[in-house]
Amino acid sequence: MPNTLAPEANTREQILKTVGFSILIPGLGHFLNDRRGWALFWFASCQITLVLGLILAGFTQLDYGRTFGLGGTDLIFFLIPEGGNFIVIQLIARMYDSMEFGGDFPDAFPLRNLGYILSGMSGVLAMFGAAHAAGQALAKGHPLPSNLAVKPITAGRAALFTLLCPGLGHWKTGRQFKAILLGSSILSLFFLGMALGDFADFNRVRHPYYWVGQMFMGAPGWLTSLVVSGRNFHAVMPYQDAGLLFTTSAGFFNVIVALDAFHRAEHDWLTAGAKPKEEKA
Amino acid sequence: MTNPLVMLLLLLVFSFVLAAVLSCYREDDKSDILRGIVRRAMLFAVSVIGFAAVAYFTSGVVLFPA
Repeated sequence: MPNTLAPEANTREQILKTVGFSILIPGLGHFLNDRRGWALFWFASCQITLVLGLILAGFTQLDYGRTFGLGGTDLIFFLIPEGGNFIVIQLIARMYDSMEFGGDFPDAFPLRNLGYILSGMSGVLAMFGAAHAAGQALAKGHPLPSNLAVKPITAGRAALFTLLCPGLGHWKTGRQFKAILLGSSILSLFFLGMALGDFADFNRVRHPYYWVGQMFMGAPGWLTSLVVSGRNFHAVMPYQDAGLLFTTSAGFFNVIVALDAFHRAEHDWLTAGAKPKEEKA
Repeated sequence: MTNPLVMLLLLLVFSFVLAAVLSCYREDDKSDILRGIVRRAMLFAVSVIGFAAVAYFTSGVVLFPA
């Protein structure tokens, strides 16, 4: 007896391919699922934010990456979160060098933080774009009945709403209690962490590892970082480590919330009567 | 210098959010989520306090004996 609440094997395989291609080149997964408009949107938005961010920060993002390879070769350039936009960051890492010359001129790029946010956004958007493409693959493999009065949102869209605001994806799937609980909890943790660090702890230069987690806070985190751009620690604060832990954890918790929103929306989609395409024919 | 009471309060806040995220991931029903939050938050907070106590006494007795 097949599990009716999981996509059919063919669709699951298609979803897996879609996610893989979307990470390689944002938009490619959509393109393979005949969503040309979305493909263009994701490709353009991820590449424009990446290139603009790199230019604004003088390609200093590349200082935070590492190369890996067999036998001393530089096969893969590993940089998160920009690595979510995989192929293009590989090409750029081989074509350009950081313009900071090992940190000799830290004031040379006044819009460095904006550049970091934009290039980081590119990688995070590419990952969530892959989730959106997975939702499109599910919708293509398991179309909803045309006579449905209220159509559920696609799983990928639920994940994307979480990136706009924690809990929003759950709200859109009709889970108001979870939306309010998750949204208020994660936002409170994030802003409490920012306050403990005197609103200076969202800083890639000073805390590059924590910064990766903080970037997954999505739009609230990105906007906060831009608003407090330029703030620095003036003393060692007693709870700044807790602040860093809280802000970074809030970002990673948001990823779990997005996964849950995706999973619940997928469940709603399948229970709403979506059937595999083969059965409908 | 940090205050142990403030640290305890921060631990409880973190435990609550961690428990809320985990409970919402595991459950979809409001009452199950609420029950899960209390259980998981207590479990996490007590575990961390236990580790802290062991570290404190180990530090005082083994690493820096009188």
